[in-house]
Amino acid sequence: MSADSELLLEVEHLTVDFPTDDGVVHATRDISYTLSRGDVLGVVGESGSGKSVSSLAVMGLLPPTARVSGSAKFCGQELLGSHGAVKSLRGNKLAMIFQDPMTALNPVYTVGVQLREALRVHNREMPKREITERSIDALELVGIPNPKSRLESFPHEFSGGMRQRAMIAMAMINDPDILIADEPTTALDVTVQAQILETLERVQDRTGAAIILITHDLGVIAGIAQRVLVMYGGAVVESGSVDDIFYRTSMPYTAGLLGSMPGIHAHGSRLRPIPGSPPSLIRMPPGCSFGPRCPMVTDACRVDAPGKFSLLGSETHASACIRRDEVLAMDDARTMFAATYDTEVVRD
Amino acid sequence: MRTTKRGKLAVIAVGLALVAAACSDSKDTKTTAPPAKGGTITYAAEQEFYTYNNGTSDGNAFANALVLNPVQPSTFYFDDKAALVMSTDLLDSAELTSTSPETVVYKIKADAVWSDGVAVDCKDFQLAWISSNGTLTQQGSDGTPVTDPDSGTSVLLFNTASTTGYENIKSVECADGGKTVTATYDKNFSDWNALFSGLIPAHVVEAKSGVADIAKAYADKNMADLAKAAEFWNTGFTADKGIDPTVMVSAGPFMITSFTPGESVVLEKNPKWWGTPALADSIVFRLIDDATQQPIALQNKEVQVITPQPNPDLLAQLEGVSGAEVKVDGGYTYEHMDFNFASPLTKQLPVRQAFALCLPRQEIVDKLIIPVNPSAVVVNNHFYFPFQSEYVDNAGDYAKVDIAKAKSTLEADGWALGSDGIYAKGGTRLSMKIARKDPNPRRASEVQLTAASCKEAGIEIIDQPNEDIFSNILPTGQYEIALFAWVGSPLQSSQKAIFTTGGSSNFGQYTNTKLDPYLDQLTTELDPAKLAAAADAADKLVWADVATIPIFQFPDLTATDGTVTGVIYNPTQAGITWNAQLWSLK
Amino acid sequence: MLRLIIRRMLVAIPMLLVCSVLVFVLVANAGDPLEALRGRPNSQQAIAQRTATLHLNKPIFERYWLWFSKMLHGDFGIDNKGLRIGPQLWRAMGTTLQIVLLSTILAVCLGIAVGVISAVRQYSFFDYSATFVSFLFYAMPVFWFAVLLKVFGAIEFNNWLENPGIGTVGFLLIGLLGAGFTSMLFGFKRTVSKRRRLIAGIAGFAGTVLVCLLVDRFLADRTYFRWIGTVNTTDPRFAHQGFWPRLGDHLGHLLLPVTTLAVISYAGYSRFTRASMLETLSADYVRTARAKGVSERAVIFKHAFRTALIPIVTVVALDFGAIFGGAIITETVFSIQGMGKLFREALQKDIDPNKAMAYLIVTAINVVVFNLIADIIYAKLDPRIRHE
Repeated sequence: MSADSELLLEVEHLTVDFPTDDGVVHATRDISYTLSRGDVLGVVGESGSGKSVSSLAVMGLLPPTARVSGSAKFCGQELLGSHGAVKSLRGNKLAMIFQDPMTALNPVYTVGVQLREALRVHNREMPKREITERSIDALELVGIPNPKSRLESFPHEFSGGMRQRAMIAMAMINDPDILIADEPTTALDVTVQAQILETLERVQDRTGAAIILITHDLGVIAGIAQRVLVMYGGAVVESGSVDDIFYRTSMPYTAGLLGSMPGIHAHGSRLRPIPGSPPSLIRMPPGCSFGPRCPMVTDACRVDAPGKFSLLGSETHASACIRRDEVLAMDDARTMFAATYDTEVVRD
Repeated sequence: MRTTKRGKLAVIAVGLALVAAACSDSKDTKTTAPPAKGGTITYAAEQEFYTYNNGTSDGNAFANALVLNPVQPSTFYFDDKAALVMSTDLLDSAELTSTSPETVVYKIKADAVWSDGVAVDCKDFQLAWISSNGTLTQQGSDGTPVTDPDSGTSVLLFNTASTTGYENIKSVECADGGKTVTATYDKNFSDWNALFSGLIPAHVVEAKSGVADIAKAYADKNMADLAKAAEFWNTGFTADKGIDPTVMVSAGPFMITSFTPGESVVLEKNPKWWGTPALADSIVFRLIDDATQQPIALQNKEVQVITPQPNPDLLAQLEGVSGAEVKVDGGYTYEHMDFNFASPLTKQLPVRQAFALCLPRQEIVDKLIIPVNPSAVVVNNHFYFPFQSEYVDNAGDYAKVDIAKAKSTLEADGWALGSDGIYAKGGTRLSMKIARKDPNPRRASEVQLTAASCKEAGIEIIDQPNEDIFSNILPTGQYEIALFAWVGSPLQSSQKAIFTTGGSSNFGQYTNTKLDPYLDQLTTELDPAKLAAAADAADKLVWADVATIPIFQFPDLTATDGTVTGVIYNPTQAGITWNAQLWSLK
Repeated sequence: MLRLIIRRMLVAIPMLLVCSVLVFVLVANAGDPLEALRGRPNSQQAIAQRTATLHLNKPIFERYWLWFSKMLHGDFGIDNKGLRIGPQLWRAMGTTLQIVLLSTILAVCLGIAVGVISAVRQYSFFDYSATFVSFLFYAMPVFWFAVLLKVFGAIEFNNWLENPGIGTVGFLLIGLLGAGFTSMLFGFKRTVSKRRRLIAGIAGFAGTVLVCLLVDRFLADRTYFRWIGTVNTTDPRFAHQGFWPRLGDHLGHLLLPVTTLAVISYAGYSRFTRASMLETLSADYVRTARAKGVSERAVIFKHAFRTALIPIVTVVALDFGAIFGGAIITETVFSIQGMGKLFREALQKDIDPNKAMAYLIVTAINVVVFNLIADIIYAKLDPRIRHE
């Protein structure tokens, strides 16, 4: 897929805080990335790493208590802030699908009603017949059999995979430029996961939309994305092409993620989980946020200095680790974490 | 005041106000107000009127009497001193022409008519007698009379509440075209002047039941016709069918003109009334069954007259109503302690005497009744009440608490004070149960006060509350003393059932062969002076036996909002509307 | 759906039968219908008569059969006063239905509106005030509230009606209320700036004061009759007047009891709606709707509220059935002769067996019916149930 150079989304220094009774939760800090037409950007990280929050911020779907700063521009239009253009673009140019198709569809309306609604809110003048036709087309596109009769079905009459397809159909019905897929396969069976990913790819082929694929599953990323953001503790810790991330790992956390993945690439290799748990987003550790869990941590990592977390390296492959060169030089960076045999697998 | 304050703001809206002026004068949206003056007086009824025939056992309710007082004709009525006074509206005369056999001749006013134009006459008297003389019994399918297996009482054809008095009458004869009535008794009845009150229109019963002449049917023993007449008499007058003006006719100053079930009864002037016209145009009864809400309705000017059961809170509430006139009196219902003569303890005179000496009647009145009725006194007579001229204090030694005398009375009888401070004789402790209705906080307090006082006299008192004492406790005999109230009556003939040997209301099985003749005399004596003497003699005997001990009269409250006059308390079962025709707006 | 209804009704019949036997035995043993008569001198005749009419001397199962065979023909027998129970029952039901229906409508409308706003603007000043008011209403004893209403809503208001007018304080208070209302109305959206809310408030104040001036001018030198009643549902003096005066009088009497009942239910419904709305507002499908670009209004009403309505309507239906059995305190305080009064008459003093039976059977049927209605509504509103 040749990279279309048309820049669709430009996110700069995106920071989201949630004030709570216990203190301010720094959900994402200083995230920057760009997305061009036809791109598939993978965003990986553990739960609570801020991957969803950053996308929700772009979509303007955060709760009103969230404090958002930085900038996100769609084709040069600022999305953030009270005067942001996101309202008119949401569901139209920017579409999003969610993790759990079981709950993401309204149980009291038929799939058809919800599908038509997505179309109608952006096309007030469209005649009824056309709306229905396009709804049928959308269901057909995502591979739902008998789309015409399925329009009258309620979500609970669909299987999980079918519901996610319906969600994709709903997201794509207005021909969006960007589709944000927030863990679209997590709640599904493995076989269904593959079908959904295939559907996403097909849809992208057909429409040329850029996709931001948020997942904690590197396997999913490997199959579909061109570029990857690795997030940890609310910040991007490594970014680069799929090959960069998988084969030229330059951040211990990425290495840990790769080691936690049941082997697809290196058959028979042991699981090498990351010890410990993610940092509290209210009280971040000084210095590198991965420091407390990092096997390569040094005193320099614990120094809290400005600019510490900014990405280092080239524009195409960057890492937040000050020892990136050492990591990069390792044969198999995953080995820095101890292998495990017992059942106590990755805890997150 | 309003105008000047408004003036400050008026500048802002001069223009708009002008527009408003144009609009406001064009149309009067005021809701049509009911006639404010000219005479509607509204009374808050605590219970609902439900039948025009208050003589049935289903009827016989105070709520009905209140409405019917100014509607149905009566030969005599109770005045505010509980004396029976002949109705000069209905009768020219009522004369006891003979005492052996007792014969009463009533002369009905010539112009006395029911509101449908039919004359009030002898037929109405005859119906009263036929319906309540107890000779007509219900026949079962096999022709035998139906009786109540518990009491052996026959179930009557006419479902009358009481046969008292009428059962003594042998005949009711008519003369002078029905305007003269002669009632001849085969057994003298002292309270003859209480009979023939609240007369039911015989012509209505005849018309509605299709019986041509009830008196004739009675004379002919025509049971089929009598059954038809009785059927209508029993059930035809109930208000659940609404008001039928052809049924609920009036021969009084007011007639029933409207009835809204659950809400109100309206009495308006009877156009056919021949007597002195009533002062008010209309008397309205509005059902307010929660007494505590009556003062609020009074304050909201929804009612002008209320007679709720008084309590200190209610009196305080009424004090807050400006202009309200409040009065509390003692009525005919009286609280008393009744001994069980079947109990091994209370059948002993010294025990009853000792209890009477420690029963703190004055303290009970002071603490529980005076706060409601400041003029309340201890009642010291079983047959008359303090407001009656015949009342005599016969309590003697028992007028005051005398612990020492209570103790000496017991000791003289061989009782010895035990180590627990309670007298005992022959292994039996002097411990007595007082049965009372529950829940009733006032009676609980009465028992408490009694227990405290009698403990000093070495008598143990145990509270025995029960929801249904007349069904559950008194018939079983498992009590020593019963605390309850008699709905009293000014009729001395009604006393017999309470005190006589085997009397139907003599729950304690009290018996005194010297007393019984006096009680008989109370039902038959036609000379008022001799009647009072007999009652006094009977009262002295009851006190000497310490059979029952009266304590106090229930207080009755009468309150108006101050805009009406002529509302006068009446202690009898007639109730506050006894003189409704004299009620008037100020 | 029809099958569900039929099946449920078939189940209800034996249940009601067993219930009637049980209740009959309980009522028969609950007390002596002759207690008051026994405590009255010279009443043996009346005792005998009533024993005969109530069949008290017959064994209980024969009595039940006598009652049951009559009941099947819609005859509930006669009460202790010798009155037929049927008409009393229908009348009581009609009366109770009026106040319960009106108060439920009022409580549901207000409760749902306030609950929705509270949820949408969670932790706002409005939310906190609404919460405070609900809990206040919850905690208030009914009779106390009713008496308060009578004093201020009836007596004081009627006094004012007799000599109406708006004082300066009245102008200010009503103006402030108007200001608050308009600023809330126009400031409903979170995005509206403080300045615009202020402007809306000032405009509201001015507008209300103007209206007040008009009204005051209109009221000057007039006098109205005392409209609000504290007891009963009608004033007999209106009995012979036209339809509109009678309706006006009727409403003047229903106002306070309906308010009393509504306030209690309102507290529950507003809290329930708030909780239900908060749940649906945070549901994934609401986020989906927002992601689709659906307007905030449509998100709240079409998506969140529509789903939140399911449990609310169910609870309302069940509640309705329950209050219908007797708003006993409210009916007593306002002297309204509805089902609550019937219940008290049947059981409070001397037990009135036929009346008690009529009340209890009707109440049982009522509960069954409203349970069924709740189920039907639930199935109608929630497609997940419908297809099972």
